[in-house]
Amino acid sequence: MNLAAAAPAAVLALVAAAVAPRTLTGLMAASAAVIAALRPAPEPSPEGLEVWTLVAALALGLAASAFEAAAEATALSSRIRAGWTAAVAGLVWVATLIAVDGGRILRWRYGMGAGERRLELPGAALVLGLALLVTLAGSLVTAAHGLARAPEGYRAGRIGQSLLVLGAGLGALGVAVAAGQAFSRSPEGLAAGARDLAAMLLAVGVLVWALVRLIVAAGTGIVSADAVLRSDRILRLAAAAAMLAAATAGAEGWRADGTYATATMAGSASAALLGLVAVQPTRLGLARTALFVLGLLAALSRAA
Amino acid sequence: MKLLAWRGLAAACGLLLGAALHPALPAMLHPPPVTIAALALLLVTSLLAAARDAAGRLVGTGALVVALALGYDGLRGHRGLLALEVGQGSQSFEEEGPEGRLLGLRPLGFGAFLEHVDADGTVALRVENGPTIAVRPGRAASYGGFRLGAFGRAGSGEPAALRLAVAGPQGSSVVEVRAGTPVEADGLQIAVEQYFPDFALDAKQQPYSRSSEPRNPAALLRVRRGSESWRVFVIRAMPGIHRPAGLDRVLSLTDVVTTEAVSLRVSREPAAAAALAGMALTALGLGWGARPA
Repeated sequence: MNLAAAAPAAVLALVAAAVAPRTLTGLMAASAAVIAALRPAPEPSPEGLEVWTLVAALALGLAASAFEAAAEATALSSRIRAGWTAAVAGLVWVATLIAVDGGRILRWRYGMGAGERRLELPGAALVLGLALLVTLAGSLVTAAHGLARAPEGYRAGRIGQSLLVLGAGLGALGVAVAAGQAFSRSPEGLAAGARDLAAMLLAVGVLVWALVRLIVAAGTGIVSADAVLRSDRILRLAAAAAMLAAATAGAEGWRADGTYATATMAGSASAALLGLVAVQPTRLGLARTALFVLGLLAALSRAA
Repeated sequence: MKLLAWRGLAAACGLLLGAALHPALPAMLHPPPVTIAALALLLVTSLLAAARDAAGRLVGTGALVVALALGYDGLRGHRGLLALEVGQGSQSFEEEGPEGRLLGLRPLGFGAFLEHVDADGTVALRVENGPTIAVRPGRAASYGGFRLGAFGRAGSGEPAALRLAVAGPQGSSVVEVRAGTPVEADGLQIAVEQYFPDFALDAKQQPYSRSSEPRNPAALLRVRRGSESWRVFVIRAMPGIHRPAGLDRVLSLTDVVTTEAVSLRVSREPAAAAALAGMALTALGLGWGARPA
């Protein structure tokens, strides 16, 4: 079993199920589980299981939960903000599509692995390329609608929303086609592309979540002060866990390599600093929390 | 004071510091150490100035301890690499500065000899007039104020020797030839002219090595007997492939004898424990601040 990938996935699932149940945390647990399931077990590492990844996974789960609660609060308070959240989620999905497989999707190509074992997936490339174009158009139209401060129900808003829904649908289809094609043709290729697949699953999941908030929940609820306070508390706990993960990474580096000044420690310390930034009671709270989540994701994906 | 207590300042400093420390940041964008120190100082001052309760003060104090410890290690600590072959000793290591810049040799304060390297990668270092230290992969060892960690097995691509089989009318013999040192075997003088660890031919049919790993070793040998001279090509994958006219011996490359060498990471970080304790203190402060009012 790929313990190095499975253990953080289990921690994320635990957070999603019991500690701070939220859609985003569940999505992250599912993405981590995809990597753990598809990647073969590596050679046993002399360092053994890295404990810092477990603490960082806990921090990520809590931070994602706090981010979702904060985003929900802003979406409920204003439909325009919900539109902005959906537009940003669309851009995140577009950026993810460009980032995976070295940006080959821009040339209508997508594959898994490298060198002689590379597996080209032309069918998935077509669907994912279309998803990219449609989502980009949807995000831009939705953002333009938001900038214009047009009234609710205005055509541009509806078109943007429809394009985003189509982009999310095509994206989910593309991920499924890519996984299906790769599974039937080369399980090794699928293992090589596991991280890309997990990233796409997470990004399209975030887009679907933002669209559901936009379509179903916007303008229908009242945010209680208790919910906001609880979200703040969870965010502080996430920042504490991230700081503890950085300290653990430093201790593990000192024990294994003789120094705490390792790349792992630098990555986790960077994420911990973003946690410290996120808890400051000042402007752009949602953006700072999103950065914190991204920092933790980056630190954990480097270790995966 | 009002500006220092502004939370936006702490957020901005933390954000810039987080970006500056991230390992994915391209080297050309890395700020100089003095900028990082200034940002850390501003962040700590802002956190302490803005602290309203015990949890906030704990976060600020923890950050201060981390900043002081990292600063102390930056000024008084040393980090570098020690490369040794089996049987080789050294009293100094190659010190590295920030960004991995080489600073020159720094004395260890003791002599260390590489005794042997086990199959599992455990390195046995014998200290002059002292004990034998075992540095295991994933488990660094301490000696003389330094931490010694396994960094990797050195692979320069240069073999210690090529093992050749020389077959002739009188029978066959095996000989080891080192680069730059010709050997006598069966009345022949054999020297290595060129070595290809991973032999391949390019588009113009010119030989080259695809990598420094001995995956497909081959060599061009200079063979002399009296006034006669031949150039013989040997490749491990095809023994005896080249038989030059006039040479009544068949030369084959049977093996490559590699040098057993390791690189060790050498670190002296006197404030490591304080840095990690400061982080734990900051985490405690953040966690304490999350408790219900």
